Amino acid sequence: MRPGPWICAFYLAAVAVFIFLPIVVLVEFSFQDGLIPVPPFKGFSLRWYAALFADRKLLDGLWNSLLVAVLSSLVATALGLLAAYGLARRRPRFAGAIQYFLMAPITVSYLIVGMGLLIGFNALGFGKSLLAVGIGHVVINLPLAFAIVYSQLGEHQANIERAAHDLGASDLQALLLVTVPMLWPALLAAFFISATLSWDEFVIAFLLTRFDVTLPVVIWNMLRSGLSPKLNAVGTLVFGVSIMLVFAVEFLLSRARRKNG
Amino acid sequence: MADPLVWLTGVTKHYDAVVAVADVDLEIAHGEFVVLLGPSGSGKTTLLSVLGGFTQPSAGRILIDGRDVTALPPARRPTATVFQDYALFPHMSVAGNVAFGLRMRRRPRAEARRRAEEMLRLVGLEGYGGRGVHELSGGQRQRVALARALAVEPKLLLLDEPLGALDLALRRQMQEELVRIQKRLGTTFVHVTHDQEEAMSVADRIIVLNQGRIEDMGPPARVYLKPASLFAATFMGESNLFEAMVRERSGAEIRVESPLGAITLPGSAAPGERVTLCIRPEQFRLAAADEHDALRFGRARLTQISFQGSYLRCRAVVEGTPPLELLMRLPIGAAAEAAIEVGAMVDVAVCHGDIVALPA
Amino acid sequence: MRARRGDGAAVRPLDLRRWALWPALAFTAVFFVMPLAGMLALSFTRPDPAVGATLENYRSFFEQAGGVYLKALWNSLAVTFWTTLVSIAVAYPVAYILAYRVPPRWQRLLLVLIVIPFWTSYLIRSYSWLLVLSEKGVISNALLALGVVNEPIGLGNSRGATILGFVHFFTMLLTLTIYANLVQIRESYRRAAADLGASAPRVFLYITLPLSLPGVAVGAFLTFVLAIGDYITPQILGGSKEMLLPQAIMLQVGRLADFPMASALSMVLMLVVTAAFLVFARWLRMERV
Repeated sequence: MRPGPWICAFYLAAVAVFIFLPIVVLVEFSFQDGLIPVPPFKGFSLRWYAALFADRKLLDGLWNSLLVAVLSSLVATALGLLAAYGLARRRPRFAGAIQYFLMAPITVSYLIVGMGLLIGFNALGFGKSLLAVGIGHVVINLPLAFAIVYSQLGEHQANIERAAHDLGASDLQALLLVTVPMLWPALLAAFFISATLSWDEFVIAFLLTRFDVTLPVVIWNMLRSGLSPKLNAVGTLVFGVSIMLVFAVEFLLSRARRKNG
Repeated sequence: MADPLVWLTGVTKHYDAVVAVADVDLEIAHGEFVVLLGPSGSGKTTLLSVLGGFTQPSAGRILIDGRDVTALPPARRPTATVFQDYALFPHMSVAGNVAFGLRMRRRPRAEARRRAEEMLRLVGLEGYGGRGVHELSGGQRQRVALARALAVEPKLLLLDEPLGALDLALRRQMQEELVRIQKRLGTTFVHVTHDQEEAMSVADRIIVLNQGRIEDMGPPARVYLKPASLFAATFMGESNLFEAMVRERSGAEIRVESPLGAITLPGSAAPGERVTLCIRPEQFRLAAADEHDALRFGRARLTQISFQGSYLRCRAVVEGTPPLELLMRLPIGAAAEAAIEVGAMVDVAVCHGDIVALPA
Repeated sequence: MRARRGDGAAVRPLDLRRWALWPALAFTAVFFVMPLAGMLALSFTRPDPAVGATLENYRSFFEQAGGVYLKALWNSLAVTFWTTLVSIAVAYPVAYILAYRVPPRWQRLLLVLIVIPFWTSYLIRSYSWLLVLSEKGVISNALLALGVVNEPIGLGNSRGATILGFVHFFTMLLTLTIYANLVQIRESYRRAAADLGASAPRVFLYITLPLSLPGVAVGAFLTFVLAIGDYITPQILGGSKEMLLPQAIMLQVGRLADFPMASALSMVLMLVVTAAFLVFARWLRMERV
């Protein structure tokens, strides 16, 4: 009584249709030669993509998103590396508790992280800004960066560092000249995952920005004014970029796995 | 063999271009402890897998207890397997594992439990039923796997290198256990291993496999002392090999010409055939002056000696053209009497009857 | 271990290892823990500075306007519950088929393919569903064409649409987690069960299913936490039909500018999420033992 291969294929196909339906609609109607992104498909046109590139607000938002993503990911990765290094090498007494502490932001929704920062900054008189968003993104990405790097800091790594110390290197030298180069796939993976999450993050960006906004917030504002193929075009582009980032991460993670066995 | 339990005819298995098992015919008697012995790639595991129903043969038939089981899946065969990694279900207790097969046969709960207890007692794990699998040591897990397979009273028990993960002392102990349990239950065991010492410890009959074919088959002593092929000889243990040519044959003896000289030994090869003479290292003796019917090698110079606990492993060279290199195992007692040290000259001899003529 | 210079004198190295941990700890403390503590404190006040510490916000939570906040919480729980259930029901067979019915060579490829839409912007994905479900959208047109309905039908702006949007996302997530779990169940377990007489359905029931539960539990937990805190999907697809907890929070922040109330509601959300986390952690510990 095994489900036959046809039933399995049919089920997979059905699920695939369900999964891809909105994406297909999104991409298809970004080329809509008409005003609204709904059937019937009136004809192929790139005018909405052209409109994108002429849209000042969109381009600003794109730039801001990139800025926040790159910078916050750098900070998150650096802090995560240091934390993972410190925890793995030094093994302080409360190692378990420290790990929970560092991972805590993951267990709480982005909304709450954003709310906390909003209220905190408000109370201290700091206004909304991209910097605030960047800080928020570091908060949510630091646990991930830490976890990824920590998982790669095994005994094998420790031995090589000991060899470096034995040959006269200081801690900093060993870290920068030996450990970091060996960890670079994990570091890049942490960076890219943080960047991917930051790039698409909405709630924290929405709460903590007013004038300079990130791309998701621009998109949200566009949404408020109704359906338009321009949104489809944005979505399709964002999709493309995300896919590329994902494949980069996949590639790097598999290299990290192969390197450290 | 009269009325065998297992009957394999023409069993062949190939994976694309690779032939794992090549046209194997085999009979296994009721209550036999059979060992499939061979290096990796010899087909022993594939053969076991075919017996268990996990692999479908490309050709051939398998009969168990008179029934053609070739097309039957493992669940419906009267076999049970002890897997190499034990495969104990991690989410069930020890008793749960052992009783699993009985549950599948829809035995009432109480009976299944009772039988599980019985089996645990048989393997020496009485009272362990309530424990979790992860609490057990390697040796204990091995016993549970055995108990689980035996609980369903299979006609044929298949063991896939079950002792590989155990250390030496534990392995020896388990080998004895296996034999004890097998003799007690009378179940037919088929045991796969690459370790010839293990094979000799447990088997009623050893089947030596190489590249998918049966090279040799017989009781351990016979396979070791009188191997049927060159491969079997070298696989079963260390040996000294010399090429020779058969000159005469009379009755059960042949006369050959060899680097050892012209000698007469048991054999059945035809004149003109090439054979390989095989002498086991422990068959050499330090000759006493008055021995006559042994083959004497004359004076040999010891070039290497290594203490192995129960014997001295020595290399010696007999001068001549060409010089003969001998590998010997000398018992400690005999060695102590003569002056055994590197460079010493010793008189070496071997019984004619201990020399085996193998097909070249 | 101290490095020594060539002349034999001991170098005092920067003991990196000791202070390496601090930046991250400090950052987390300052920008995560303290804001949360601040929020907690704020939740016990009112915007009017004259009013001191009070439980007013929390009382409002239960009583305000006929329990509208309570209803929001209930809606959130209900939507999240159905989302989790349906997502697991859809995703488990996919993961199972991929793990056991698809030739190993194709597994990874199919997995990546099925999950590609996962990487569209979350915002955009919900928007896309709005397009699909709108009365001018693909589904409405299809139903019209098939004659199932007589006039265009808008399926957005409803709880069903919200759940659909969630399920779309979480099916992919759960497929990944359940698949990852299924493939590391040792093949020899299933073979041993078969060898002992279990038929294929019984192998699934007694071996595969129980051993896959941890993967399902992790996925369910993730789904719960992510869904219940999500603002975007219910806002875009649920429309104004009903309010979920995140929307209530945003309402306080945006239009009403009532930060203390927003804090109180956030604390409620955090309580729910933490409770789920504790239940899960406890279950995980029990499973381990």
